[in-house]
Amino acid sequence: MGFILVDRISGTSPGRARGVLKLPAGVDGAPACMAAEAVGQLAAWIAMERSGFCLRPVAGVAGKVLAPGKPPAAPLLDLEVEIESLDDRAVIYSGSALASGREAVKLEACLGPMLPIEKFDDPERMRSLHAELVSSGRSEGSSGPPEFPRIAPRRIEREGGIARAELEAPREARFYADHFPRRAVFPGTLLLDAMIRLAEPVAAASLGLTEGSAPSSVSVSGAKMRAFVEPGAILELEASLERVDGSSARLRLSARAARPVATAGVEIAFEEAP
Amino acid sequence: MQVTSDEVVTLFPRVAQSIADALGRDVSDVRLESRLIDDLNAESIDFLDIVFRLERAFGVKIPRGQIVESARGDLPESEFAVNGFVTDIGLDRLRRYLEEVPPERFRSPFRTGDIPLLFTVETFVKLVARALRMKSKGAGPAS
Repeated sequence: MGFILVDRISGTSPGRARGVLKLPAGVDGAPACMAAEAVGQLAAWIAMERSGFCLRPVAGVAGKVLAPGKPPAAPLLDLEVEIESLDDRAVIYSGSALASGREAVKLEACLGPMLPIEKFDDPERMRSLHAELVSSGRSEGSSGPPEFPRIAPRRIEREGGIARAELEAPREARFYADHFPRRAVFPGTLLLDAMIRLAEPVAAASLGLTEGSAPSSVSVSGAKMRAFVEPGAILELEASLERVDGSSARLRLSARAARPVATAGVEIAFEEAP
Repeated sequence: MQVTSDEVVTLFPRVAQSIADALGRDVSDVRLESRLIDDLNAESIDFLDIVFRLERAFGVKIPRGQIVESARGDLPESEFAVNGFVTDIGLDRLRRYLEEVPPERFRSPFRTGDIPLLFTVETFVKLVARALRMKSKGAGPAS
């Protein structure tokens, strides 16, 4: 199992790129954060290649992430990115992932700070892997089929419009081998996924729905990663209700260790809201 | 290239909104004299976010390190800072360029890494003003 979520870069033109991710057998639709990770990784490949494999982006800011509540089922995700700007400071991009022509996730105004690639991976390994991606596509032997292990928060407490929980970044996990070989970092999209899942029951309850009600859509705004999360780190998560608007609820999400690690706003909508 | 008080007054509201949006704060928290780090808790990712929001909002380009490079002017880098500390002449250049910052904040020894601690919202208003002037002249990045 690996955390390389691009199997092939199927086309590039100035400022744009397309790619494909094959989902593992038995996976019935990619969670939104997995699809977002795949789009981000496609942007990262473009940015790395344009930097001559000297720099790579890391998770920074996601201006907007829009996803349906239930991921469309398909064996493949078709990935698209548009690079709005790229220099030695950061890459700014937007993009989407489609499953059988239906939008699995849409990203807008994302910013990935560019850092020396050698701190995270072997530049020549990345160059070689990129060559594979743009030609025949990635062979599974390199790190196995893609995985997106959804880490469940623990010690969840809910009171009124606030939920708090703890999340432990696994000390060991196969995805660290790809994220990243020279510096293990708990992926920001896995953290964001856990934060959203903490918020969903709060949103449902605020609209008079049962906790297990499935959202019809999730819209994240201003997600910002402020620090790397090391393996074994224990984070305090919080989801607090800001307002209810018709059939949707808006919440503020945060994760912190000794200092803030991540923040985001999320709007969760339900079809069955009374 | 002095920025006029009229330019500051005109640009402040949109700059403040960009900064507030980047930091997830209410725009009323963002005052002209607010220090980005000490008052508004901005971190390095926020500086990137702010710069890119300003570039988008005003249609300008703000290269990395623009403030320090502009403050340094024609002073060679080797005379601006030595071994991670700003020289006395470098500090004088900074003090003159960042005239919106109280002069007592420029105290020697001054680490180059601490330069962002000096930046206020007004610093970024002026950064945008200079970038807009350069853009209107059809020239490169502002000084």
